[in-house]
Amino acid sequence: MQVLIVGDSHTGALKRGHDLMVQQGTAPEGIEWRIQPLGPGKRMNTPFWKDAGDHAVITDPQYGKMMPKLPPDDPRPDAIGLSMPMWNGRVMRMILQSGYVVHGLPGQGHVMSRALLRHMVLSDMKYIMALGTFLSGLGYPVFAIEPPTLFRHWGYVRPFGAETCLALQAEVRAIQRARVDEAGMPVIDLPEGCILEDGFMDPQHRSEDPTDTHHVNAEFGALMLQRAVPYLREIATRAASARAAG
Amino acid sequence: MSHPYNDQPDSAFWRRAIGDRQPQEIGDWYTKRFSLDGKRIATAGSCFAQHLGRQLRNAGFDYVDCELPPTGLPESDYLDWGYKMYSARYGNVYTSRQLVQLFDRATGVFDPVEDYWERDGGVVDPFRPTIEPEPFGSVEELRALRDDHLAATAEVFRTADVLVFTMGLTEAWLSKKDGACFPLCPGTAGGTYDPNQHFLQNLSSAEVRADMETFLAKVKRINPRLEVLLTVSPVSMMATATPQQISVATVYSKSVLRAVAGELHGAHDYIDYFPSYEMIVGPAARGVFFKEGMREVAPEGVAYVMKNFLSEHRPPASAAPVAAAQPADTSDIPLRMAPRMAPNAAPRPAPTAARPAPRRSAPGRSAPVDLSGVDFDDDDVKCDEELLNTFGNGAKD
Repeated sequence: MQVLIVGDSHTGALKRGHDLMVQQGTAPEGIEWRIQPLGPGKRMNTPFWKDAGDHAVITDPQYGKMMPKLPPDDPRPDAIGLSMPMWNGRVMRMILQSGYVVHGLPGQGHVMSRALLRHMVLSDMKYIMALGTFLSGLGYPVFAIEPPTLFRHWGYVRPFGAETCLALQAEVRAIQRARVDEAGMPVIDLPEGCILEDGFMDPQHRSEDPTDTHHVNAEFGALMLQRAVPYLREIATRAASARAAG
Repeated sequence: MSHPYNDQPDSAFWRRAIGDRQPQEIGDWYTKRFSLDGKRIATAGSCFAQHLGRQLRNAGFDYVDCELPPTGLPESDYLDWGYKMYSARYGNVYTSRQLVQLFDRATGVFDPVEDYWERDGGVVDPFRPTIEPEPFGSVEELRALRDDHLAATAEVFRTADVLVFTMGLTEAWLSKKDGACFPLCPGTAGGTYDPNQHFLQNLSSAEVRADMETFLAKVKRINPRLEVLLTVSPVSMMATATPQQISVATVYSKSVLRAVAGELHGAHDYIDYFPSYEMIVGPAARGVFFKEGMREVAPEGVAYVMKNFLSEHRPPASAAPVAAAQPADTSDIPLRMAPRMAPNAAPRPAPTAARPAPRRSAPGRSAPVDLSGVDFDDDDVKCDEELLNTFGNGAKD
């Protein structure tokens, strides 16, 4: 089974996680992973692709260098995982930097309505969701991989406070999750227990780079890939059944 | 024979100034009373003021904006969410009564009894019912946003050097409880119209003058240096609630406003009057500056008005020379015009692609959080490094 995982910088840990599984001999049998970034997520809230009929052309010049079209011709994937729809950092940073606080959430600042937050989150992810819907419409099983939530070391926690950051993160992620669910896109969730009682990600999952405060490490990347395996097996079984029936 | 007309310039004679000229050739409309150089300019008023504000910003004037949009809100959505319409998110201020009450609400002097309207399962602010496309989820949310907004509005009145105010209408919808003046008729964009609670007052020239004098006296107390540049909106009424035919009602309304603007200009040396109304509506224009339907101003009309404005008020030297010479052609951008009678007919800006908003500092009303030491670029740098370390050079920006 050919599985393409494509997305933002969180594909890095997934790729290193895959390499780790191969090295340790724990890679699931029968699944060929291709893990490929488009690039950093900062422009994924812009129209970075266009519909070319039977494929998407990646129009963002930098992303296009990494992957000019989706899906790629060779090999054709049996499933496509998107590591991009649920990254909350981009929206959170913009709101916090602007000095706004969402009504009803803890924090100081100028008050923003919940409707505006929802609009901003949906606007932020609309090109990604449109891509997912487009690929799904071409017949590819498309799923989302949930990125990590916040680490306590994230640079915005000190000035804005843990309570503010966690509450905003939860709100943004919930809006994103609802949108992904609405689109009928299965989600590979974070494993239970990776978030501590204080609401932050367990620091043992932090990136190998101690100065990086928002990516996870290879072990966690491998864990997320393993969590995708039951879903992928189900797809493979479904496809096999369909072939047998056909 | 000698008489006062002997020394009058060509611009004082109809045939020489108007009759023998094409609309675009007519000049001498306006001589400024005071300069805008180095001054902070705020705008408020009826929807035509949105054009003026946008053009002033584009021309590089020091424009007061006390409610900046959050970074990341696509520019194409600003007007839908009430940003960049005016110097704060008060929406259209159609009447003189609204203006004086906006000041009173912003400074805590007036707290209207009817402070929310229900709509579509939520609530809206009766004093800016279409400021967001969706109603607020609760009265508490509405009030929290309004408190923040009124603080920003007070800052506009306190800090501006010049207020450009476009007078729009005389028909005002008021509350019988406390005289609160709503921009829209209750029931059109929220709430329920109740003849026992609400009434129409078609303001007379004396009432408009009194409102404006009250406003000027109050605002001068907190901002003595404030100068005011008045205009009258050339946009005709969408509908009237009086028995008069709409054109008759419009001419009454605009005539009152134009007369009061002239009186105020004559009475106060800190008030200037810019005749955009005459340029567009007057017979000299022969109606060419209106869009089809003869209500809204065509882009050429806005450009003509702004050309005349900018020829007297030269944009700051720091502005781009092109911008200085010609007003930016943004006049075809739909204005956020909340209908006063037909909420479902509201023109909406066409959706366009989201663009990342430029990074800029937090709004200036307060600095609730100390951001010193925060490296805003750090996350992006780490994303690049993560990709570089894992996938090699091609993956990073």
